[in-house]
Amino acid sequence: MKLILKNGIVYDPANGINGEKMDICIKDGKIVEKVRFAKVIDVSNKLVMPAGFDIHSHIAGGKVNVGRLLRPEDSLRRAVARRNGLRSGSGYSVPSVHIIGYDYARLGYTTVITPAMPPLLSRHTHHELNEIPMIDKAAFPLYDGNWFVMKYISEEKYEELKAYVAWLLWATKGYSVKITNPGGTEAWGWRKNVHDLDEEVPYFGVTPKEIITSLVDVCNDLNLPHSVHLHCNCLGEPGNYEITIKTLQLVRHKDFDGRQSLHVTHLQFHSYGGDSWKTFESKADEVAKEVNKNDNVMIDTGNVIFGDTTTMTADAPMEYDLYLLTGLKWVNKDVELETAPGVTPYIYSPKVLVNAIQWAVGLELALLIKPEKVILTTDSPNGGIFTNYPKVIAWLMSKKAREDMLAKVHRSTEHRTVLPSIDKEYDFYEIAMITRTNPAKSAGMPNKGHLGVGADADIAVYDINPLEFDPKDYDKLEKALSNAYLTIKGGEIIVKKGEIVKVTHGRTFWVDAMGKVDRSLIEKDLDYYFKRYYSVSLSNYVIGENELRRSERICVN
Amino acid sequence: MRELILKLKEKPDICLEVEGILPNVIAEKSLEEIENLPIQYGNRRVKLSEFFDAYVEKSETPRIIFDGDMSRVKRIGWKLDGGEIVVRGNAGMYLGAFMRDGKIVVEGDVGHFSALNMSGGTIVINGNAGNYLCASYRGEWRGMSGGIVMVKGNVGKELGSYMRGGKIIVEGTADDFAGVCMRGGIVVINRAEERLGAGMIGGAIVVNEVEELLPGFFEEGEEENPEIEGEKFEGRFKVFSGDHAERKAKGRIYVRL
Ligand SMILES: [Zn+2]
Repeated sequence: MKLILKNGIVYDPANGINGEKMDICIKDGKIVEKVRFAKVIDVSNKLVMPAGFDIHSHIAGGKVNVGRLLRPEDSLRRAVARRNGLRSGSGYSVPSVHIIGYDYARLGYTTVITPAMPPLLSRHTHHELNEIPMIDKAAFPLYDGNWFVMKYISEEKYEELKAYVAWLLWATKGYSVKITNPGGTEAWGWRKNVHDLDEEVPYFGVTPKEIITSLVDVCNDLNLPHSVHLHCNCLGEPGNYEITIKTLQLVRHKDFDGRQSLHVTHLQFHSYGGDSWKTFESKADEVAKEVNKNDNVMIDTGNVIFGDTTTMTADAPMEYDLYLLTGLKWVNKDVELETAPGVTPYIYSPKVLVNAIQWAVGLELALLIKPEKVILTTDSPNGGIFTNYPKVIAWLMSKKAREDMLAKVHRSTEHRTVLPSIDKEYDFYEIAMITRTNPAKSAGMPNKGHLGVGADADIAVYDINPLEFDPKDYDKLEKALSNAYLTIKGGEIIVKKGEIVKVTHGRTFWVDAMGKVDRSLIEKDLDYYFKRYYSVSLSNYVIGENELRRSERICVN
Repeated sequence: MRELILKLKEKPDICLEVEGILPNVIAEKSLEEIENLPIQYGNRRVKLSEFFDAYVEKSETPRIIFDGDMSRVKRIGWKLDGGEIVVRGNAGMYLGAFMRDGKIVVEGDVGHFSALNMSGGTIVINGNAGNYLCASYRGEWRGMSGGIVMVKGNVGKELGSYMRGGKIIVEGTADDFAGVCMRGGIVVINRAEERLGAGMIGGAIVVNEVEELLPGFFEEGEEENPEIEGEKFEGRFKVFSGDHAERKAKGRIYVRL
């Protein structure tokens, strides 16, 4: 299919295009210089950007499904009937499989990474990803509480560690290395947690610091497209900004020739001061300072949206602590030799001071950190479901939107945060950066997140004139961004005026680094661990490439 | 003001769902418009007139009368927010679920999940009720918050689960787990089966007769003519607090002596 998008107002930060009126040419699913005999679509005075890229959103796998089982009442809040060839579905904070794809497409997003796949549950995860329509996707397998990882680190067997990291990516068809509360989830098996980078994990004797730095080096040596994707220790705890800053400092000197060495995720949940819930306060400014100084990290925000949601992390001790606070239903799971996830509902209330501060922290981080280093997420559904991104964008682009919200939250919020004093308002160029350019760049997908020649023709058009946008009109902005005027995926129009017009199935990206390691180094250990400890055999553990609906293998050299 | 009389033509082979057939909805509509209102028949949307004969008459209050055996008609008075509904016969599942205001009177029995998550209004049931009367929706920990429900007959299991407010009166027997996980409100029962108030942390249950209470309930002494949740009760009661299997439980069970 050949297409020309005519006269749109284009924002494409990767190519330095800042609100220029121009035409975008599309042929065979790619952006091209010129195209003849193409269908022309007039998008005069409309906002044109690369399609959105969500680098951290829990859309598939064990936790999501447990969330659905745990919360039948969530389905009561939203039910979607079957129509126009689209599947039915239900669920607000944990929507059923198909409507996740439809929702992202309507938002103008076409690539989403599910960021916490327990390796043992990767078959489930991939089969669910296979069924999510419209979007390209990838999954980060978890390496944090992994016995092989901790064993090789404690025995200082670096080559074996490398081989195992590559092997697990291959075996699970994963995209990069995710670590969640490094050391903490294994310690949880002993009814403990870790609260310091130098605290030892029971039995293995390794520390969070060793786990993080070893895996950072491995990712660099293997030249993986993405870096380590890190959920820091002490998520959600008052005073956790200190450990966050210490963690960031671990990679300050790890300058890999401009390669990103660490992605710190949902930073909002890790930027708190105070020593109890009573003295809880924002330390976003301190954390932002460290991130700005540090050339080797990228961050995503993990913004909080007020309302009822379902939290789900591979951080079981944290989910248990959350249950102790709320008294609501909760689930913990021990995934054999790998990790320990948890799920529990949570309600962010504007009248609860801690929640109001969390809301402010997410915005402060986005406003105080250089936009080149920021990626917008809500850690969906942990801070709020992803369909709320337009709301967050409105807060970032309009000081008035923030002030209007501040007037509705707990009165002490202004004393515990610096948000009221921040005047910065994002422009469309910067919004394109934090929702398109940066996530694609951080994930290492060179054909995503931009509109240069050769890029995937994944494009979003919104019915708003960015050149005439008045930040006071933030409601209009929110509405326009919530229902894309056009979403184009791989050169095909999949959304028109907020309605799905074509159902497609995207690719699943995974990384094959087996060519860079010597598998024989770990063969004996794999054999032994699987026979001795795992509930499945080694051959059943490995996901075949044929199990992916559309496999996109990224070979690294 | 007027009332709508809906006579069931014949008992349907599968259940009908009459969500949306409410007094406030029909108030401004012509008879023809009313007959064309959609109802659910299995996986099909059909016109109201396909299963009901409709008549409109003058009345003091906006009212709908369901005439006939409605035991295969679900969602009567679903999300009712005013006016009155009368069922001359039995009613199916979900009667008065999510009701906010108004009144429902049923001459016969009602099905399961009736008065689910109710927040206001009054329901009078002259027969028996099924399981989960006044309960919370599946998985929901924020249950019934207001309104009054009176049952002449017996009720099924899990009466008023996760209830936070309002009042339930059962003149017959309540099956197992009445008042399970209650947070507030008051439940008055003539006779209760097993596991009364299991997991309750607030609210009060008043009962004339109960076989035995769970070990999480501690005896707190006796009271004469107690005032319970703002209401006077005559007679002598043994008072229990609980369910202490839960943290900070402040529930109360009053057993008549
Ligand atoms: Zn997450």
